[in-house]
This record gives sequence, structure tokens and C-alpha cells, in this order.
Amino acid sequence: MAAPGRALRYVAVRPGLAIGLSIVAILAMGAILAPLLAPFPGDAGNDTNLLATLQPPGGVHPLGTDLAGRDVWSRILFGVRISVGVSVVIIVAALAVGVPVGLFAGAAGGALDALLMRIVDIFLAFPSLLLALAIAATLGPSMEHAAIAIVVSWWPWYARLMRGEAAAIRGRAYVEAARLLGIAPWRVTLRHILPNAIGPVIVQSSLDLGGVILTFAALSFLGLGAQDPTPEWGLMVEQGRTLTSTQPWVALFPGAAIMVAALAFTLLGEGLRERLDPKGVARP
Amino acid sequence: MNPDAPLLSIRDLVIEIRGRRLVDVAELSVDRGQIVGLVGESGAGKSLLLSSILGLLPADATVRGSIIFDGVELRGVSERLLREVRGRRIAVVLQAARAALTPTLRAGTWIERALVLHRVPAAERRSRIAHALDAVRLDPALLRRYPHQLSGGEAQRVAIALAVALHAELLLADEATSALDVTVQAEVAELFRELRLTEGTSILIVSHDLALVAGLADRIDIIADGSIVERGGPSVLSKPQHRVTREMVAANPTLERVQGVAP
Repeated sequence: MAAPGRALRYVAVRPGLAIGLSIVAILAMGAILAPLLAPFPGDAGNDTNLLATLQPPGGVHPLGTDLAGRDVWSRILFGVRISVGVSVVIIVAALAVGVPVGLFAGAAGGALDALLMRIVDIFLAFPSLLLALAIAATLGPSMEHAAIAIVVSWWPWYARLMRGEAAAIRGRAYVEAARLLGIAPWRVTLRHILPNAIGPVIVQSSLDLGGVILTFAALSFLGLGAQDPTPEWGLMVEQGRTLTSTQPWVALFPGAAIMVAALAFTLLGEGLRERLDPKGVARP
Repeated sequence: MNPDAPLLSIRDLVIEIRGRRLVDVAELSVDRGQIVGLVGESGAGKSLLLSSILGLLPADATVRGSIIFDGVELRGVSERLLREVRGRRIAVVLQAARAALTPTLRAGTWIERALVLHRVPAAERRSRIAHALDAVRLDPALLRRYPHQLSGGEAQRVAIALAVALHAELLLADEATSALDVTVQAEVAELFRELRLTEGTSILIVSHDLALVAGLADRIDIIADGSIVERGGPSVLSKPQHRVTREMVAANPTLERVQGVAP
């Protein structure tokens, strides 16, 4: 598609996008290289070191240790795989459900459209965090259940967004032209409507990734998501919650990691919006 | 098939939407190699008539009557058979030239895909496209462009080139020149004339532009309120009989008047 030079220039004039991309790249590197970069890889698992509990940052523990004597820095590094990695999987799963539903509702119109959108409305009637909480609580506390809960509460947003875009594109001249060329309806939908309608959905999903990271951390914080010893950031904040006045590093650093990751994906989404969803950009 | 029979023959065609009779055409035909103009004001039912030929009417429309193309009744034919006819045998060129090309596809990809769809053998595609580009006088380099990088006239040539490459026998031009500026309009009109000569393409031009149609068509049908109200050679415009025709002729500014208004 775009020449690499053009893509570089596009990023260069958008500092927010450049920062977002850099942080995402660093997070990806951290997730991949965690076993090499972490000074105490075992601390992300079942290891404990009761002789070195609640060590302040410095020395062999750059970000200190927690109540079980585990190296906070090592756990944050491995936590990228959980907190960001699982969030990416959640978004992809929500897209995998929401995009086809919205696409076919919008492209078909009529009764199918009405039926699918009423189902979507039922889901959207509940605040998504509340719905995720209720589902996670019903399924029982585990990381997988928390992820399923978020997917269930999130996909209707993509269905509705996709439906609106597809319905708008359906009336375009090139869709009519495609049908007049004898192209079958399903092919018109996939080849001529989908590629022209997906842009805003991609932007939205990138913006949402920050929100999903926060929601996933929140569920773990509330005890409904990841369970000890999983190095999930929200869970780590919860474990340091009572120590904030005496040993703040236990909660502070995982909390900062959540914030930085959420911010990075928001910056990334905003930066992509201009390219993929020009009408959503506020002009100065 | 009888070569003297009309290529397209419409009889007693009635189209109703929610109880309103929008089209009621007793007889309309296009002979092989003929250019027929269908002229009417907006809302006269021209576009609905075109959509009905290809079986692409809105879901709430009811149709009666007969549409015979090359000796075969198209009404009531299966959707699959209609798709074989669409594009390959009957091509449509729309008013919105650039907007009629899918924005995410290069012009060349768009043509190539349509040829693949209609099962033109790979070996033949290149020569057919080259011939079509030559016929519409389009620079092959433009095929690498996306629609937004084409001018309206270029986009219209791409659409016509596809019709040529698919060896379409009938071209339905739905206000195909209305959105173009005057010099480009004349070029596209010239192109239609050439296509009829070199490719033997029959053309049904639907337009509200009397001057354009008068210069092109062998026969003109005037449509008003869904029915053909007047019919004849280009001379119908010099001796209009029906009220609507007279009004349209009167409303059509002569060249002198246009020049008088423009600064």
C-alpha cells in the first residue's frame, strides 16, 4: 500500500502517534524478551523469597519486592504478556463477533438488520463494566472468565459501529455499480462494503484497547480476574493496596504500567484516526 | 435467434411501489447497433426502468410485463442467470463516474476482477483490456490509480472500457454525461458513437439532456410520468407534439443564451 517513506513521514508529523507507537513497540519487546530481561523470571511464577519481602527499589530489585519477596520489575515485565496480551486477544475476539454481525446487518438491511440490532441494543442497555462484572461474577473468578465477560460486554459496540458504516456504504454508487456488474451479494459485501467500512472500527478498537486493559485490570483488582501468582497488573495493584502509605512501590509501579499502556493505545488510535476515519477528526 | 429481432424489447411493463404506478411502458425496444435515447424529466421513471431491465429493483417494487433481451425473457429468470447477464452482456454506465468505482480498488484491479468474475480466460484478459483502453483512448498508466486520483472523465472512460472489455452487447447509459463538464461530455458522447461503429454496441441513453441525445440517438423516446408520450427520430425535438416535450425543448437553453449569461 503506502510506501514506507510516506508512512514514516505520516508518523513524523504526529508526535502523539510517534510516542504511542514507540511505547507499543517497547511493550511488545518487553513481552517477547521478558525471560531475558527479567532479573528473576521465576518470580513471575510460583517462586517466593520470604527473606527479601518488601525490599525498597534499588540494588538487585530496581522496583523493589512485594509481600512474597517477588521482584516487582520482573513481574511487571511478564505482566505485559497478561495485561496487554490478553487485552489484545479480547479485542480481537470482540471484533470477530461484532464485525460480521454488524456487516451483515448493515449490508442486508430489512428484518435481519432490525433483529440483530435489537439484540445488540439489549447488550448495550447495560454499562459495559457492570455487565462484565456481572458475567465474571456469575462464571466464577478466573482470568479466562474475566476475558469472556469483557468480550461479551464489548462486541455489541463493534456490531453497532460496523452496522452504521456498512449501512451508509450500502447506498453508495460503487456498491450499486458492483451489483450491476453481476457480482453476487455476499461478494459485494465482503469486497466492496467491508474494506470501505472497516476503517472507523479499526480506529475504535485501537482506542478501546486502553479501556480493555483498564477493565481487565479492574476485574483482577476486584478479585474476579487473574489469580495469584499470575503477574497481572491489576492484581498486583490490589496486592499492594494496603501498603500504599508504607511501601508504595508494590502498587505504584504496576499502576503506572497500566496507565502507560492504556495511554499508548489511545495515542495510537488517535493517530490512526486521521488516516482511517477522516470524518472523526476534529479540525482545529 | 433472429438477427432482425430487436436486441432489447420491453412490452407492457408496469412497475408499482407501495401501490403507486411509477412506470407504465407499452413498448420500448433497442435494435442491434442502434442508439436509442430515453429522455424525461427527473422523476419520470427512467432510472426505475433501467433497474428493472437488470432485475435490481427495490424489494418493495412489483413488476409486470415482459423484458426480452436477445430473444430471452429476463423477467422471472433466476438471480444466477441475471448475474451472468449483468455487466457481461448488458453494461451500465452511471452518472456518478468516480463514485461508481470502489475507492479501495485500483482502476485496473476493478476491471481485472470483473473479467475474472465473468470467466474471461487469463490468456485473453490482457489483450481485451489493451483493446478496450485503446477504444476509449485511456492511458494504461491510469489503471494503476485509485478512483480519487482520476478525473470524472477518466473514471467514466474506465467504466466504459470495462463494458468494451466484457464485450457487452447493450450499454445502458444512465445520465452518464450529466455530471461531467461540457467538453468532457462531448468526448464521452463521441465515444458512444465510435463504440457503436467499431464494437457494434447497442446503446440506450437515459438522460434529461435533450441536446446530447438529439446529437447521438437514432431514435428518441420521451418519457413522462412513467409512460412514453412521444417517439421519433431526432426531429421530434424540432416539431414537439406533447406538452412535456415542448416544455423540455423550451427549457433547454440555446448556446447563445448560455454564452450571454456566462461572464
